[in-house]
Amino acid sequence: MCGILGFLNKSKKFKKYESEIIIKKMLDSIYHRGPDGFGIWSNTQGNLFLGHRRLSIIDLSSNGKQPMTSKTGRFTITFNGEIYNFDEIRKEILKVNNYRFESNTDTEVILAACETWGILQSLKKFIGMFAIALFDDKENCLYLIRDRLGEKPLYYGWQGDSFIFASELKAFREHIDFKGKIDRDVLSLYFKYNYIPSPFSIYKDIYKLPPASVLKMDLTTYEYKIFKYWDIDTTNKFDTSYSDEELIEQLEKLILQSVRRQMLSSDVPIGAFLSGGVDSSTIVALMQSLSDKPINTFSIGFFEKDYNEANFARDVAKYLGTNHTELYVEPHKTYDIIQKIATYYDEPFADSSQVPTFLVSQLAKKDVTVVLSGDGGDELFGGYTRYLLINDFWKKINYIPLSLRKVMAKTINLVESLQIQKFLDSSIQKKMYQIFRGADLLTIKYPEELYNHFVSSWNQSNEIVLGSKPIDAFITSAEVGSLARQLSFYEWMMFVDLNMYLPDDILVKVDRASMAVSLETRVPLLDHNIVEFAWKLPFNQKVRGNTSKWILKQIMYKYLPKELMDRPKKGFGVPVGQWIKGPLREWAEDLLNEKTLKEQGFLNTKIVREKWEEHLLGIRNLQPQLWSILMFQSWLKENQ
Amino acid sequence: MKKIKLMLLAPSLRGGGSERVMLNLIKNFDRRVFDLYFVLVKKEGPYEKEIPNDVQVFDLNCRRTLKAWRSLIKCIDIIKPDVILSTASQLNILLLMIKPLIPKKTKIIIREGSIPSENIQSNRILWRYLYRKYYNQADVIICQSSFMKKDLVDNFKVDRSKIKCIYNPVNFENINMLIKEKKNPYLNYNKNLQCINILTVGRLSSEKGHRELIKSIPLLKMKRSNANLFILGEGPLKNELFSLVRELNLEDCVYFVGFQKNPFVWMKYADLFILPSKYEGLPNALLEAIACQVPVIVTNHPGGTKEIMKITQQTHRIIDEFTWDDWWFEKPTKKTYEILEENFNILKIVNKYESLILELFEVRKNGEN
Repeated sequence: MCGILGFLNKSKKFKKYESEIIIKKMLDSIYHRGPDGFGIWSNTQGNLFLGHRRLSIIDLSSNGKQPMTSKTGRFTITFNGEIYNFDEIRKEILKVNNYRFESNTDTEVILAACETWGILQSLKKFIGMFAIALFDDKENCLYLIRDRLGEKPLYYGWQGDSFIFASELKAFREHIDFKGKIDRDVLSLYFKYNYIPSPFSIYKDIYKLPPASVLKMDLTTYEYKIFKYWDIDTTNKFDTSYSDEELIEQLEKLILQSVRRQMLSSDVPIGAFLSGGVDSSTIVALMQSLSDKPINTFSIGFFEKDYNEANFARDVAKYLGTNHTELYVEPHKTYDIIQKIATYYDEPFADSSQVPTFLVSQLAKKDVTVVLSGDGGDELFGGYTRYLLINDFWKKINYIPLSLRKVMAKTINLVESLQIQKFLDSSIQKKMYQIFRGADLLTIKYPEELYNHFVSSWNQSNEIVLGSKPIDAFITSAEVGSLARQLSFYEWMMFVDLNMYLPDDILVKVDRASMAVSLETRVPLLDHNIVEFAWKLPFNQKVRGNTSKWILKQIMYKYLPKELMDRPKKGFGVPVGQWIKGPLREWAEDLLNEKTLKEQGFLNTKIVREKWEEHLLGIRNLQPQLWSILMFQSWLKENQ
Repeated sequence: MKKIKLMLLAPSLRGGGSERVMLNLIKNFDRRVFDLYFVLVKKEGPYEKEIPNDVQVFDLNCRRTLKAWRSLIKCIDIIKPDVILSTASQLNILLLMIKPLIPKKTKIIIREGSIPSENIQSNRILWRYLYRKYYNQADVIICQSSFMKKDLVDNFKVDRSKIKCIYNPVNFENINMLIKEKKNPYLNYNKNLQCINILTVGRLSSEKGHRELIKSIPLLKMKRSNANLFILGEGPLKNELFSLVRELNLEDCVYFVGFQKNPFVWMKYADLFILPSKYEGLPNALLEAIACQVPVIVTNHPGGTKEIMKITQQTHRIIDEFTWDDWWFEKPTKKTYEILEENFNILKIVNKYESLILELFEVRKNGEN
């Protein structure tokens, strides 16, 4: 894992040393991604500069130094990530090509593969997580490539005469041509979803390269196009002749293979996050089954009982015999982290589980350099509780004809406008607010709209961001809308999450938190062979009755007793809603200061203050909304 | 804590002492505290190969220091350093001249590598003016010895409180490693092990006193017929010194061996190291020779040499005349080496530089009182 970046100097206005300084500054800004060294490269024309920050995982010698140029001199690469099957690919190359390898790195294998089969054919063979910038001297083209599921980040965009790209936005800020204009439309998307969905970034004209995509830039015309090199085939399903046992066995084999690959491709100590839930427990169980020695597992505990999973993790670790480390976090330490956490995320990001993720990364880094995590299981095997809830809810309200629902909604709105709730007892007030909130749901025409409503924390987020207009994210795009006709509602929700929530929330959260402490995270369930397999499975393998992730649980039960694992799912959150009323109140007040908000001119001060007061008075728990405002304000303070 | 952007500025990587110090610093500065930007007026010279892997050199690619002013301004504008550490008088003065164009918050530390009043031989009036006018503009001036400090204060009216004395570091680890790398180099010149090999290291220019040294060799030959003198270094005086050797008929016992990548084996196997300079800021070659545990003799000259001799308790080895007495060749005690190690080890010196920079930002280095 590392950091990559570079830029095109279109007008050649920078001298060589000037460009090199710019690259070095950009590299320094992402020091945490690779403290083991860095490299700078430029092409002979002097219009392309590439940079690399290195965290040594494989081949710790200087042979792995990047940017690296292929034997013939045609390709030069700067690469972040891991190709887990690089050894197999190397053998395959040696069968057809007399390539003399000089290092034991996956980087060199990528170059040799491109020399042997070309870029697109090679990409099909790679299993792994990666963000790549690859220069083809023969075609005079630059390729930016992102892995299939979006595990590794890559941003790009034109700023004046410079086309800039980097693993993190922090690097953009060091470029002279960086304009840094906040995109208000995108900001309103952020307030809607609590993260910034692809392809947008917080800054105008800078984008995230979507997962499984290639950006091809012609260095003669300076024009680029983006295309996908992989996609999930949602129509291809296993035929019904397979038995449960056969499918379970096949999936187990695939996951084992992925875990084995990810454990093997490392020359540094490796461990795993263990929350005690289905996904991480399964991964840890498989890791332990493959290892003679106890593997290192890590979990974080909270003194707040409702949020604590550490005891479950401990039971699992004890049963499997792992070398388990747990840390119960003193509340005041958490508060310190919260006040700093926005600095680790280069865009506003407001998933409160970012706090425990950071803490567990910090804990793991003390002993290991690489960890495996169980992320992806919920999106692939239908694990989120919300799927069942929303599915049921839709079934229920769909009994009532839309016209009748509209009348009901209007009535409720009328009652709300009369403001009689203000004269009532506070417990009745709370109930009434719930009903008022629910009124909007009644007018929903399609289930997809319902899901969008459910995953949005501010439905009318344009109201809060001054001067913004609504734009579409993946979930509301026409392309995804048309998919709704092919898939069941349940599967559609999973598909949307796999393409939006997973890469833009979950994986961003894990990458930035772990990279902030120079720790590499790997996600075995996101091996594309597993993803493809999951999508071929009949639905009843994923959800059976009220049991979600059915097939994954069957695998887990082979390694862990059912009694140990049967308990309700818990989120990985922290009670920030309570904390900002108590110990973090001063910090929050400072960020929500009316005068500052007005001066900044991004947010509707009146709404912000109203929500804040409602939350403080305990009328409603507005944690997600306020957390997103606080994280934005905190980010703004750091980055403006 | 946010990292400190530290720009290091040097004329080139030719074999000088200042450049060596810059390299040693850059190799050892704490990467977790500093983001390093190494800027050279011209990227050339034998030390180029020694630049560590994780350091990028920015080459302004200018033939002459004074011509680099425009590139230097641009360069500083892009880097926006928190601190600039510059070395070599010309470059220091140039940097201070453009100071009005540098953001106010950027601190400027200049490192004076020689004794200014000895160093300015031509254009004395101009240089004296420039030193006086500009040196006080720096935030900190680092010199290597109290003698240098006194010179700056007395002769150039530099504010005493701005001057800090930090000795040049000696990279013992590197020296001890390189010593083992090669065999006795003198064997290539004389097969006779009985030969006495005398070594001097320095740029071939008049202030280094080679001429006087060579002139004393006939006397040495009278006392010890098996003695040879080896001169390491390159410089403008080469031809003149060549003719002097020829004139005195010393071709069979005075050898010019040029620039050597590994001078330490030459030091280690020498029977005597001699520093015949007319003045020295703080001679690295002398420090390194003591680190190689060879007997040293120095001429009585202004500068930091006396301080080194005093610290290492060898003041009796400061001579006024080349008498080539027998006691010159007596091996130093282990204590001499230990004192040197204690005072000049690289980590200690780097630490001093680091603390000095951090103090400018009112941050104290961890572990220091």
